[in-house]
Amino acid sequence: MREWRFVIAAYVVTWVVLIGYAVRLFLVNRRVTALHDESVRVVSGAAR
Amino acid sequence: MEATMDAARAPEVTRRTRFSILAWLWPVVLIAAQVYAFAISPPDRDMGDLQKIMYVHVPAAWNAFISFFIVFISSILYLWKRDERHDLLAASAAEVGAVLTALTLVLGSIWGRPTWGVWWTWDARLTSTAVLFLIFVGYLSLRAFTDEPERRARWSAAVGILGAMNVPIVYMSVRWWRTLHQVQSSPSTVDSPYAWGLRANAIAFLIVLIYFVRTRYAAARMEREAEQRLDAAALAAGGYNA
Repeated sequence: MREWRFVIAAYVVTWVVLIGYAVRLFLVNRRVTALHDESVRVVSGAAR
Repeated sequence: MEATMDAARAPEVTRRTRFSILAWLWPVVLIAAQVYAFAISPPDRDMGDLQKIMYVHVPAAWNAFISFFIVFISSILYLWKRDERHDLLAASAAEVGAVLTALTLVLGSIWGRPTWGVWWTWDARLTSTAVLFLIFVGYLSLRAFTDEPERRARWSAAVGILGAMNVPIVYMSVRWWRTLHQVQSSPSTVDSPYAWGLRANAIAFLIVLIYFVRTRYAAARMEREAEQRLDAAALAAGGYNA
């Protein structure tokens, strides 16, 4: 039973790290999309 | 006009990446591979059920090595062709590689405690892996603290190539030195019930790697394009004022 504690810990750590990084990617994507929208707005404004 | 049209297309790339099939596929494939490996592998004669940590520890390590191989090739291509896309791909792969190396170290520590009796030891395999991790943390810090894109790309490429050259040392360390760590686990060095579980999980982790690197690269490219657009607009505004 004691060894299962380590096995469960290993799988929990794996999923926390992978999902944590996926969330980071989501947040980076959201920030970059906002930056992109701002750059388009600035360029469009300058063109007018 | 053309720049504006390109800009208008760019969010589609991000949205497609974010909601691409891989975003939903990787957790499903990884769960399936883990369930499959648990179902087919009996407890190991020596380690018992602790052996099941192999299905996450070894694929994480292999895919970290693949990430650093991408860094190596992309960095060489950048120095050769000076195409910024190669630099951005190298940076994306380095970030994912660093995450997978950190995961490998933590999982190795969790596996080491019940089998070796210690969380950590200054064994050649563990130490060389920790050095590899620190090199790529340094690589990412270098990028974060260097503003000028061309210089950042050139320095990063040099560090990326040198860092990736550490991978064969990590891989061979268990044969070159006397280590507490066992020799490399691979489908040819483990019994067949374990080999199929290992293959399935390695492929599942490869899908995770592809999704992560692809998404990070798409975001990095979009960020760079937006920065260039803003810089060009600022320069143009400055020119008009003058």
